[in-house]
Amino acid sequence: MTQQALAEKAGVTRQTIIAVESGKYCPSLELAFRIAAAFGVRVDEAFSYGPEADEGGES
Amino acid sequence: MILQQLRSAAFFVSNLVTGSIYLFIAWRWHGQALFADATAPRAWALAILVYIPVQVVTRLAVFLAVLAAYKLRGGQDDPSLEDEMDKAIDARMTRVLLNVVLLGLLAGLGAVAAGLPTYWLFVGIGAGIWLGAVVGDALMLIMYRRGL
Repeated sequence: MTQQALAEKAGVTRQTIIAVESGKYCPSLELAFRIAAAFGVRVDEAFSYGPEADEGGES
Repeated sequence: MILQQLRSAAFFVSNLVTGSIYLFIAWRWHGQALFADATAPRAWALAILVYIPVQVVTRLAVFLAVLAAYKLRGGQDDPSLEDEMDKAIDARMTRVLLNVVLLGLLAGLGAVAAGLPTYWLFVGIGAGIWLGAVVGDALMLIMYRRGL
């Protein structure tokens, strides 16, 4: 899925998707649910929290 | 470059340019009235009050120009969409802008309290408004590039 397609599905800008992907922006819980729903997975499958996430390893 | 980053960069440059040009125009418009105690309050009040709509109209024109260039180059981002990240960045930018404006006001009051001529109060207010917008846009660009 492209960043543009994900942005459209989640109802946010491509800028926000890029920032979330690179760990530069921590999405709200609502947006996290919308992104997970766009992929058809659970939130805990789409996102992780821990040392790897702090280093920019968020999905 | 993403539309938001382009817009912030364009606003930053336009603020610098508009501020410099307007300062020159205001000086030509009011001349020595800006510096004489009797006439400075009215001259500066007029200059500052006119600057605010000039800045708003310039930003609108710059945004439309940036948007047109962006679309011509095949950009697909929706300019009307504002999401939670935009709002968070906007809130931080507004807070910084207001603090810079307040700092300008306080610097102007301090200068007058220290015995400098009255026009320094208005220099402080005007500089605060201009610098607040410049710093705010620079900060916005940085936040879009480096994240929140």
